[in-house]
Amino acid sequence: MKQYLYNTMSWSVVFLSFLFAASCKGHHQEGSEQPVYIYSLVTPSGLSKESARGLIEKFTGDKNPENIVQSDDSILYYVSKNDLNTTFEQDLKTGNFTFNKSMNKYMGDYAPKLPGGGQAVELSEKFLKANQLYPGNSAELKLVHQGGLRSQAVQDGKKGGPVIDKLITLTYGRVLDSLPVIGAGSKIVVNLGDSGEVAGMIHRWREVNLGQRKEVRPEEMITQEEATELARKQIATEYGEKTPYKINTVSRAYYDNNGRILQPVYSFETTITLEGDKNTRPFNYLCVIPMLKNSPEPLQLITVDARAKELIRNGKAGQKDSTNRKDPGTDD
Amino acid sequence: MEKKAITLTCFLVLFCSSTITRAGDREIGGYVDRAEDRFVRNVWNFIKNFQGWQSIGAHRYQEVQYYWAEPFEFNSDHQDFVDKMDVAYVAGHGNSYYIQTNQSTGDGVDLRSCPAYGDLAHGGDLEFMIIESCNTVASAPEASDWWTPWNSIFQGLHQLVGFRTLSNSDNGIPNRYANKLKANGGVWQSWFDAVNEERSYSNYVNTDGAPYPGYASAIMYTTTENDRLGGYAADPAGGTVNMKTWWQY
Repeated sequence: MKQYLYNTMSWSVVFLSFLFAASCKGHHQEGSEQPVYIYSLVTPSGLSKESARGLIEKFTGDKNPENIVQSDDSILYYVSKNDLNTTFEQDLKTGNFTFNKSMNKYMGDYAPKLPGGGQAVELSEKFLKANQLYPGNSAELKLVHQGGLRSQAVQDGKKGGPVIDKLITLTYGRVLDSLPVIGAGSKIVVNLGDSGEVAGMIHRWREVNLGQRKEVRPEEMITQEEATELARKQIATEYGEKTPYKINTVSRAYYDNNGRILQPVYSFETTITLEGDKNTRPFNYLCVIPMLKNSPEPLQLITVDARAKELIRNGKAGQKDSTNRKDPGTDD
Repeated sequence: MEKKAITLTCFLVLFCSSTITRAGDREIGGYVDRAEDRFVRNVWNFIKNFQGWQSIGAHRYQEVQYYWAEPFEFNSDHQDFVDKMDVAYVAGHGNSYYIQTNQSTGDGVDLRSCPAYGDLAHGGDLEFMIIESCNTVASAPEASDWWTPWNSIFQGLHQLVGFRTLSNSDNGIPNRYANKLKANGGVWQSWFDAVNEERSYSNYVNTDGAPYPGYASAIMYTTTENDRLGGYAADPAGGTVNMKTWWQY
């Protein structure tokens, strides 16, 4: 009897241990199987129109660039007066910049000699390193897309001329804690042209301050279940309660909104099927739900400017004075 | 006599300055598919940059039309709407050559059957049309004779830009594009750059294989590929002669 009790208790302990372990595992999967963080981004100091002028000269070769304009959101724009395909932009809040150079020769039927895929990657990374633009932690950089730019002109108005490969475009993204970083920042796009020259680049990359990263505690974030409900509401608000949709995948990611931080989000990849218009096909909608209950930098990805809806008007068929200005332009 | 001369001089100065100013003035229109709010955001984030005259090169631009999209704005009454503008920015659901105007009624326009746009044939004015939608601006990968469907609307129109694939909107494209144009960047070149700047890394690829936010495309002429808002080529002859397409892949 004693032996029976002993055996029963032993098996019970094993069973309960298994149950507990399974329970923990289940909780682990639902909650945060891997910690996520809030990362602060390191923004270079001393950015100004003058410092941008140096970059313009360095990357485009234009000496004494003129007519650099600054937008309301502190972004500098430069377009060469002699060549509209030589451009430079820099966000003075982040240091992110974009340039294109010597693209005029790529217009028309010019067929550049482009490098092969592997060579393009080598050349691109060599350029980044030579110009101190390569990320400090190379493990964060990931080549996520290799494409390019093509053109074709019509000959004699009747037949297509040759398809000309003009550029190879390499897009690099960022990986942190094995999660992709999505959003407006954390990317490097390199355009390679004739003989592998770097004809343009988008550099939206700031280092993250690993020493100051802040782990997000479970009580500070919403669960995937809660996020799914928020995604459902967002889709219903945007597309209507009855619109059929399918959530293809749910994944965790970091979001770089070109602000001060990288923050964790849930990314819902969905397919929306609109009914009522036979001419449109099902399409994809990326629904981003912030993971933080109280984000230090709310994303506000779907905020509508009140004026956007106030000012929009209904046109009328047969309406002749369709403009809303007293001083309309001319017909040129 | 002296009084007459002064009056005449004043009149001439006023006349000339008025003529000089107005000759360079150009109009921008925004047209929104009556569907999700994101299309309002897309169009607004472009036209908000043209509230009041903006000097760009030799011209000034201002938003003068901001309407819910309707089929008549593109076809029967085009001369009073999109074709009265120099730049038209449209956002909505799309398909090849198609742009939706009202989701609930299923209305939209097929650009293959729209009237000719531009200064040449029917007294229009449109130079540049931007359509932020899925698939509308079908290019060479979509059709081997890609120029044929565009023949009808290209009668003076300089450039049409948009996406040849599924596209994702509600992002920074319209605002950045507007600012690139204000800096006198190339019309299609600025669009392609703005799209590349939004290209985002995730596991996410649209169901047609195009990565977020889709692949840009443009239809134009060999003579108009270096157009910018501050200065552009003479109106092309129209039709398919010298028509050209650029596309991302």
